[in-house]
Amino acid sequence: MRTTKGLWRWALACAVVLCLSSAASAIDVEAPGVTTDRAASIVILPKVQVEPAVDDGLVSPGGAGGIIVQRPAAVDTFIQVTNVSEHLVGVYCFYINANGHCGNAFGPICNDVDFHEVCNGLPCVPGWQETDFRFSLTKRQPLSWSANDGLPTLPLATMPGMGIPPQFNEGSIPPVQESPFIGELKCFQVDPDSLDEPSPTPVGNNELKAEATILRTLPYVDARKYNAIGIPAVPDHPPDPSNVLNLGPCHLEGDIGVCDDIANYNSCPAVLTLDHFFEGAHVITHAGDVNTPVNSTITLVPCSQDLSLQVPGTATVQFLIYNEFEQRFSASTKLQCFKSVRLADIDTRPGPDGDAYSIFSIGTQGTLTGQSRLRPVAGPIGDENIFDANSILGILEEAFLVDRHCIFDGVLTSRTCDLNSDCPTDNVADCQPGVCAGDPERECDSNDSCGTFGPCKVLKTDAANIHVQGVPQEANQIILPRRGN
Amino acid sequence: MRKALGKRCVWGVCGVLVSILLATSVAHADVLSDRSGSVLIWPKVVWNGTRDTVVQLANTRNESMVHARCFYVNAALVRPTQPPGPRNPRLWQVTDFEIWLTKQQPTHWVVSEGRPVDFSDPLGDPNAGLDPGAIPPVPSGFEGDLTCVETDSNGMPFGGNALKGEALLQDLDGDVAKYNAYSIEATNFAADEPVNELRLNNTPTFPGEYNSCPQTLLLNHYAENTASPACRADECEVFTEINTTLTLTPCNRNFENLIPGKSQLFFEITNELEQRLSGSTTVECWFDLRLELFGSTTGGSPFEVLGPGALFTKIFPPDALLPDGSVNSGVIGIAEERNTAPEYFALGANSSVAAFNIQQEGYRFDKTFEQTGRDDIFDSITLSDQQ
Repeated sequence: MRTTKGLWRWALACAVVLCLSSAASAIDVEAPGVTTDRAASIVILPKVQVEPAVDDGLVSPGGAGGIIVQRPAAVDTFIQVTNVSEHLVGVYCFYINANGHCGNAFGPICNDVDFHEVCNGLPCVPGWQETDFRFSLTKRQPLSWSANDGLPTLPLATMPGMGIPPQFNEGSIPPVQESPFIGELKCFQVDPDSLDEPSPTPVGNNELKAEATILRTLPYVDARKYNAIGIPAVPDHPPDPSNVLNLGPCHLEGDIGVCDDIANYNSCPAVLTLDHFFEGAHVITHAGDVNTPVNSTITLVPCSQDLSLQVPGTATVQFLIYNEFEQRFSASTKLQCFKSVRLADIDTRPGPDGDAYSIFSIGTQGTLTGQSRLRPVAGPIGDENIFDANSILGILEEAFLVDRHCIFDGVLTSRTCDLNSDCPTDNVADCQPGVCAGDPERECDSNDSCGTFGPCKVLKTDAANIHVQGVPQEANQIILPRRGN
Repeated sequence: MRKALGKRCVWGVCGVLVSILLATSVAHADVLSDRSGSVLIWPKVVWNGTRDTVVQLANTRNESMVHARCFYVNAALVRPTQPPGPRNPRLWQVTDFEIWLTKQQPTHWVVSEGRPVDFSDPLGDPNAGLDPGAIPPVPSGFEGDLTCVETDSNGMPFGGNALKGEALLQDLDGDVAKYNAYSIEATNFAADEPVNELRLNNTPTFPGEYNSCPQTLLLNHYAENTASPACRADECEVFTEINTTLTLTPCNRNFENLIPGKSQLFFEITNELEQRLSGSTTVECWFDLRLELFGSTTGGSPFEVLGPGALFTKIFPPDALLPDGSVNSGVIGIAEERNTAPEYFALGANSSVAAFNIQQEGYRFDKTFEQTGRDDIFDSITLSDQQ
């Protein structure tokens, strides 16, 4: 009798434990990570791109005598940042210029693909230079600027907003450091009262959201857009010191690292999962009427950065690639500061040579799409350094190589062409200009003009945020500059 | 001895059960576009002769196959050439099919073609690979959404949180736009009765079956027909004008009784000068509208009046229930931004579209509970019975 009653008591206790566990497991129990769906205190735009236009003296047909048209950049990035709250918000941003230069920081701008032509035997030295700026946003205020032009005067700099008390914008937004430009933008929510201080104070109210549109206007219009990657702050855990931001799940107690899910900001992801088309795959839609080969580019940036000592983050990234047969391949690459690379150039020499032999090419994989898992290699677990998760963030861009068409009277015809002579001369039609598929920074008007970087195509692009998974065992860290006393 | 053994036995079973419960806990309470889940919704799927859609889907789990039931919802207008209205409602026709994915397997199909099961597809063929199942094509004129629900081998909803997806919208001229499918994570209560009713009522404060839809959508966009930010100076010619198309779909959907979700929405629009306007609309089944036509087809849309420049719009259902007593559904959606240049400026190809997921705030279930004090008001997805 006593034994039975005792067993029932234990069973009841067990049931209570089960109920509590159920409740806990149905609600958030793991540390959440980065987000592209909600506002945050850190917003990161991994790719900001500017390419200058060639001035050919285009004259607008409108107006007496014509108007010399001020050309925008051929490619520009329009950045949108919004304060989602009902009060004033401070924003502290960093353009990170990842342009390579021939020989040294003052040489011509180069990249891994074109340095043979540009650098005259000198190496293309990767760059990592940050420029910071700060501004405030009034309640619910959206703001947009072009990376090429910046925004010297904010909309409410001299006139107040509509609310009570009236709020003004402080600060200004410079253009990017040089053109062409490639790099990233990182923005941190700070106390608006600290904007004038040498080092603004980060705050964790999660009230910023951002997007970027990369728009080509020359020689044709093409747009792609992605959401900023947000890193929410952990409530009531401000960084101390204020310029050292611990991105979960670890923090320092004195000199001792403790990994107990208490951090200033959420963790960066452990793995990125990427659905993509294999390189050179032909995407056929519209019952066969549209048949376009596609190339994909990923842009990766490290989560950890020391903006104070100008030390870029690094990572070794391991790839597991699955095709639609569930066959698995692997590759790896290194990342320092910033990497924007075609998938086919991850395991082959940069440039179009060798693309057909890449494990990312459809010729190797045999199926149209694949799923790649990107895992940054973390430092050893259990040693003194708890901020070496080496996590990465990124976006995907796809470029569809569309045939160029004859243009008659400003309108595309259905006739494809390579040269103007391919178009009907009686209708005075031109062949549409394009860009070189192997180097989209080069405009072209024929396949021959691209040489080894051909063919000459119209590249229609899209962009998407990469899915994330998991949380690393160790943390990442962003160190902001500490200026003044 | 027997007593000690009995106690150990009870605690042992208890421990196993606790482990199972905690191991299947869900990490977030959000509807997400950057993580995998048990329910995927692609808010915009189109095949109309000028625009086609490529659906991509993958199993992110390494341990097991994944089974899913998918539902195309054709929301084309009864009279496609006429504007939507009470006399021109949307069809809301549902076609469902099943797919199987092996571990880590990606797959894709073009909605205009579907994807048959054909083991003879040669390497390099667009349909090469393990065919996920017989996927039907959609009819020409299709516009609507696609929902896929992870199930077990018997077709019952299963909370494995293994699915992720994307959609590529391609125009006849080759222009492309891409967005991520929204994923809804399941909790370990996903299999609660009724099994075929997926209750979207899990939030950080309430233990539910599947994550709740958001309370508010936060849309960053530009005022209609505004010039791109590169052209603010007075002497600058307008190089591109920007227009935005908004697509929304209600979270609530009943595939068993063919009852579409319905939502009455409020729009709060703020421009760069903090000036505000508001508007409202009703979403029944599916909503797809160029914002310059919002509220009027002859001009005067609030999305144009507040221009030029950037806008921030909050979109939310203000009330828990509709006037007829049914649930005022939460919504999710995407936006598409079209940049158009004057024809003299860019020879041909002077227009391009970019799609993006709309960010969100709050939880729909929490808001309805706050407004009514009732926990039986929630969005849900009801699957058709397979018997």
